[in-house]
Amino acid sequence: MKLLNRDAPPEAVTFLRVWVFGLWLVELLIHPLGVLGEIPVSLLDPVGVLRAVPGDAWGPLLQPELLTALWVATLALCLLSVVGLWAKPTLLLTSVLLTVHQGLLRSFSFVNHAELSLLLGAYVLTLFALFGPRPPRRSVGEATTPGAGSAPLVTLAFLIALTYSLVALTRFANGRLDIFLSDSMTYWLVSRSHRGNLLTTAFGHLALTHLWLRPVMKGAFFVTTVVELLAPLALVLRWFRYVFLAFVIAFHVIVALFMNILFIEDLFLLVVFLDYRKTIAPLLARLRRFGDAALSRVRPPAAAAVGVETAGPDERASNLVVLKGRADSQPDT
Amino acid sequence: MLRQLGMITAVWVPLCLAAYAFGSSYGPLYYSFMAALLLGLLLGLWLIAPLRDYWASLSGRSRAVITILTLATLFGQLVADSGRSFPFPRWDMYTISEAPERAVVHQVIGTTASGREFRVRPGLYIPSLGRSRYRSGIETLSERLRAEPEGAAEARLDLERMLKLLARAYNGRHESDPLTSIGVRRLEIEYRDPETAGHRRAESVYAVRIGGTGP
Repeated sequence: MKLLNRDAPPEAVTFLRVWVFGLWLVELLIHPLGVLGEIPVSLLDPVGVLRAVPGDAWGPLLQPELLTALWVATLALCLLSVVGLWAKPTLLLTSVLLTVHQGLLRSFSFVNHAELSLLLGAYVLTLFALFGPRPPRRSVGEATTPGAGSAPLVTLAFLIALTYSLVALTRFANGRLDIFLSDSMTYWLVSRSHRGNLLTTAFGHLALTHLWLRPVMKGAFFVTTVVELLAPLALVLRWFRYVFLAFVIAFHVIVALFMNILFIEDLFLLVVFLDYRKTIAPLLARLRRFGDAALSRVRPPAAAAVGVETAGPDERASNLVVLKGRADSQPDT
Repeated sequence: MLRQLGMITAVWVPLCLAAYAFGSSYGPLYYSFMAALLLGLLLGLWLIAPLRDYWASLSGRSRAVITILTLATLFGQLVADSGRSFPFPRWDMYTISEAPERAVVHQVIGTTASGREFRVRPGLYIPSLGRSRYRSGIETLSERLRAEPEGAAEARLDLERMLKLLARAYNGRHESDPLTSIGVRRLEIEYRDPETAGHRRAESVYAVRIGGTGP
């Protein structure tokens, strides 16, 4: 048994930061806050630290302009977090504002879990940037230190696995076997499929007419819960990691198609269950090569031949070597 | 290792007491059972040798970060009201057996100028209120209105406001065939008995004309 990503290099932290805050950027772009100013205050039930705000203050605070300004600030900070500019204060402020953003959305509805794993990702990166060990600097040509970038990656994978385990444990404790044997699953399939979140009517309604679907879904529910309970083992057992990923991906897709519930962030966050050195780093290297090749194709041939104004220092050196090689190969005349 | 297991337990007990004081809907006995289960999970994780070895290799600061986040997650799991413990809620999706007689669903129904009647998907037009956020508001207000049809003036006004908000967003994108009315339909669907499964009863909770008021 070997811990996944224990030997991740420092670049892994950069990758995770870009991945998590990149996903947040998309989230924020899809979810502006201004509209909350138009929702009846009677639906407001502040969550978390937002409960500290006095009731009378909400009226002036929930102005569309103010909410939009907050959204824009969060968006800008998220962008800085992706870029990695002023890392510590930026990450801290971004995490605070993301919490407020998510808290406000939930204050007008209910505390769902969709984006909360991603929020955990932001906290992990922020806390490690603020309090974690400084990654060792490396000079050009020096090999990366094994494990220097592992802590945030391993911690986030651990916390996500823990949340899966918590759901399963609570399901077994509260629902006992009744939750798997009763009509609960059929009820969820029928009611959620008619809600029309993703699909106007999701496939869950088929449980009304295709009775064989009921025991199949109940069985799948039980097996998935067992896999969720064992989720932390995915960090140390490679074969179980594949089983876990297959089950969780299938589970999220089926839940989306049959129950109209899509945990897209959780799907994207499964990347932390991949081996950084074996899977992600080679993929990134291939992407970089592809990008470089595309850039060199775009670059005007004259400029590429001269190689002075447009190329970086490394490229300039290689161009010089090429020119020197050409000069060397010229026959003396 | 016994010493470390003892330390985990020693940290766990005050955390459970704090979470209980913060708010739990469980009775003391059941709460203790849940707390013991979670402690079991924590100790089980500690028994995984690679996790333990990794922990030993970390600096004190890294350990502190992991401890804070893990305990916060577990604290949230013990608190009944996820609204209080946000952003560390209880991870309890589909953990209670529920199988009422009929499935009750609230749907938003729109009618356009051309007479087309269809189900409006709020998340498509107000993405910030997708993910059942709009629906939960509509559901709350509709149930308030049903419980007190004559007296719930505020719920009526709020429901109308919510519906008009969605209608505006829809009409902004469909100027050629805008909504002329929008309302909430409450569906009761039979699902338990295979003989009657699929039978439904629809009831219009509230509808509003766009540009006008009233059902």
